[in-house]
Amino acid sequence: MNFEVRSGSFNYSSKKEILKDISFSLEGPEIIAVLGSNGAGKTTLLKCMLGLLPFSKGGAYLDGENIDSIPQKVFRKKVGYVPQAKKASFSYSVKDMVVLGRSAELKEWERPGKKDWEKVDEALELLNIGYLRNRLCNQISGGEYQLVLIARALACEPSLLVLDEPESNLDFKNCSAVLSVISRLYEERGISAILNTHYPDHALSLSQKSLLIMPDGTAAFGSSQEILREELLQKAFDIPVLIRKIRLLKKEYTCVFPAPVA
Amino acid sequence: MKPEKIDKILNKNMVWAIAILAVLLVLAALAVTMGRYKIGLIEFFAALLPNAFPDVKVPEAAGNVIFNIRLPRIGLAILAGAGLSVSGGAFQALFSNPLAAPDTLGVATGASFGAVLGILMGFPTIIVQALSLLFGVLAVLLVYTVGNVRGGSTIVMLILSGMVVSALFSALVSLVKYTADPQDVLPAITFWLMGSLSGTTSETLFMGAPFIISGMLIIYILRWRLNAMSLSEEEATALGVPVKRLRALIVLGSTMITASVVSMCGLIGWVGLLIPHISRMIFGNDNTLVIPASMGLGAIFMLAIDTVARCATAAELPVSILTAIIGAPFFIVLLRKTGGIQV
Repeated sequence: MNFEVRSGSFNYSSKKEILKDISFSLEGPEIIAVLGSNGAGKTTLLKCMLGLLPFSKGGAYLDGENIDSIPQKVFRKKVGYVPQAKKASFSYSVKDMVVLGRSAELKEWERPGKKDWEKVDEALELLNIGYLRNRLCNQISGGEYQLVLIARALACEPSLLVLDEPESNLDFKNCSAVLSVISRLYEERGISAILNTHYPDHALSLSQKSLLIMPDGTAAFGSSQEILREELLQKAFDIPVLIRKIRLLKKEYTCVFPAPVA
Repeated sequence: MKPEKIDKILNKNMVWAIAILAVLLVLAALAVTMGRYKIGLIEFFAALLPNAFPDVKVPEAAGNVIFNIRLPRIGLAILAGAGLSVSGGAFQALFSNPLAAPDTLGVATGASFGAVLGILMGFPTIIVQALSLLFGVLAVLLVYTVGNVRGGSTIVMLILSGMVVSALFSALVSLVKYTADPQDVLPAITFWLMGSLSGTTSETLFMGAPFIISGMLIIYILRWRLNAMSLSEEEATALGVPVKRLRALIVLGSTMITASVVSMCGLIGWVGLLIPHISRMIFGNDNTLVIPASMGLGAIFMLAIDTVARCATAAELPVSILTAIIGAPFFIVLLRKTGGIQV
């Protein structure tokens, strides 16, 4: 599996380009983190990649083919989208929510059958949330709901997951649960991920490559170590940033934090 | 899930389905016997199956009342109740708005304008019905266009544009009433708008029923898709749901139902809002259950209301008044009992 954005640009009706000539590629199983300040266009880029918004220039390519020319059903089966966990107006049970992930597999008039419910159970078991199966989505925690949305994307067995700030609004425990699920899916199943995040430390520990969107709409792309450096982060976020490594219990951790204002 | 657990759920829903169907049949049979012209239950069955009851003599007048007046009217009550409930339930999911109903989105007002215009022009019933359908669709399209800003349609925008379009069409209805001849056309128009099933004959029923039934069929077939459609448009698209096509189909089905019901029995409020929510309180939000449940419960509710409307007093009561008077307290009781809708 190979996913690529070739010189993608995007602008809303106004003249200012939000995204300018962005290129990156995902080759084989890989995790890519997308970073940038609020309003830099992270979510916009994600939507363009998913074909939910049109690139004004350039395009996204899946295995060398422009995603606009790939039949919807084929594309949606390969690329699963995990939106930010926002509660819907009608709350469904977890199993009814996850089975919606089978939508691309079914004809318009078809309803999920035995095979689809098996896939639902597989996805829930894979994330160890089988116990949530019959609960209502509005009666579970935000972290659990985020996992349910990941399970929904996994129900059609995609090879790439696109996640929009999966760990935002979550506490430490839920945050690490979501991140470890993403890395486990990559390690055990070879499922690639492209995720938006506000946390450079998460990108450094999770993703091999990073895309850092700059205030002018261009982006720097490369290995996470190479991109998430103090100078580049300072440029992207317009605030001095410090990166320090600490050793705890023989393991090295990287901490990224804004420099204290003197 | 263990197989016996699946069986249990299946059985619970089967029991409900059989119970709803049984209540509907019993109620329909009772409704035939009620009214100004007295008909016994035995007489009704004898008229229905003359061979099974050879010793019961059915007067010709009774047969006339049964087949030409009561059965068509009961049929329309069942179809209108089921149709409006399904249409309301589908709109609520489609616009992911628990307050949506056939009439809050302007379909009913648009359809009534079409009907009223047709009556004013003196068109035959079929043209009146077609005009009604056309303006119902037009009203929904207008609501959608007005409510669609920046590539997305928020709930608030849709409600607002629904209100505006409704207001526009009700103003047009007033205009038609204002210009109508008060001797004959105006009473006919007022009759449409009051909401009554009293004019039903087998001819009007056969003309309108195909629209209602095919509309219900469309929504029934797509009922699982309504779950995905109630998510945001982008989310549904990303799941591989052909949002635009399904939306057009569901709006078409819903509009066929509502416009057709309005063209036959005028404006009937409340049913489309009330019944789907009652179904949700009993069965949860999964539309694969909400839609069939709304069909059954809507049919029962409307049949009961219409029977009261024609039997309670010497004169006919307008249906819309009864749906609110009987529906509102019933809804409140259910709301208190079940703890409301699981939003």
